[in-house]
Amino acid sequence: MSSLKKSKITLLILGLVILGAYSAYKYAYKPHKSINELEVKFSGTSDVFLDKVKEDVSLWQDVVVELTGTITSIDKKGITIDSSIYCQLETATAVEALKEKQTITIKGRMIGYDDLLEEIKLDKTIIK
Amino acid sequence: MKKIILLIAIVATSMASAQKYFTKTGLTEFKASVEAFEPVEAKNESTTAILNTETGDIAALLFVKAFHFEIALMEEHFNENYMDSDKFPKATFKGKIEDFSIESLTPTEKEFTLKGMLTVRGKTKSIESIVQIKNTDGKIVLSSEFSVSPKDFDIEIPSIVRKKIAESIYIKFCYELIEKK
Repeated sequence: MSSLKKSKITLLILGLVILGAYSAYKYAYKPHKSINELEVKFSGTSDVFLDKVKEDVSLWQDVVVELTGTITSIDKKGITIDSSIYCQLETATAVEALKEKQTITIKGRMIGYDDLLEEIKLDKTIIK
Repeated sequence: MKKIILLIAIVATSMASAQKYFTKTGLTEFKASVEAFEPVEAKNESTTAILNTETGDIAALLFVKAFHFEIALMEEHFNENYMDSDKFPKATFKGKIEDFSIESLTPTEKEFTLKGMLTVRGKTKSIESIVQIKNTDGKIVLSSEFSVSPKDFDIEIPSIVRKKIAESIYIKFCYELIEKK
């Protein structure tokens, strides 16, 4: 084998190794999906959503929902809609612009039904 | 008439003293890191905790899927392969802080003994731990650290990654409770 051919093969293998390592790295260190990249599974008013969750909570775990309702209370990290849905906000500073009794639409990830406080819990919530 | 007023007064005071403190956004972390390997750790910042300040009874609940890992792929594996979080979405704790009294709390931390049952993946294990409690401006802050083993909850770790995941997992929590009205 000529030395030229040999070095060509070495170069090819090296290229493949680098490509493989790069794609493995990309796969292992892929970024978290933001809430906007995920499919919205439910969109509507909070009371309709509440009824659906009461029917079968297991269908609604870890899904993105878009809800409209009235703010009933506000704390440092989130808001409660219609006294039954707690939305933990993605950025806590968003709380400052909100007022109680205000009607809003939010988008967030449903994480489950909290039976200690008897309310639905969302996180990563953004205000629409 | 006086008796009725007295009765109302007694009922009213006993109701007022059955106080509860709670949080919806408590922090629960765990660490299962082994030195020299990628850190295996995650944070859950949506833990619900309720403390009955009269009896010292405490209950906490978290959703496994709300654990956040730095590495997205690790989070996926945690939920799908180890925790089965579609089947077991919650982890709960029910217990009691021994000799708890809200009057004894000060702005500097005091140690109490916490005993209770931790349920993860449908398996329950009894836990005993020291908990630091302080009271600052009407907020009761509880923090503690204890360790569990994946075996306690039937969590199988494949041999290929066994060396990268610690035998005992440190669980740490910090709950800042406010009065429930």
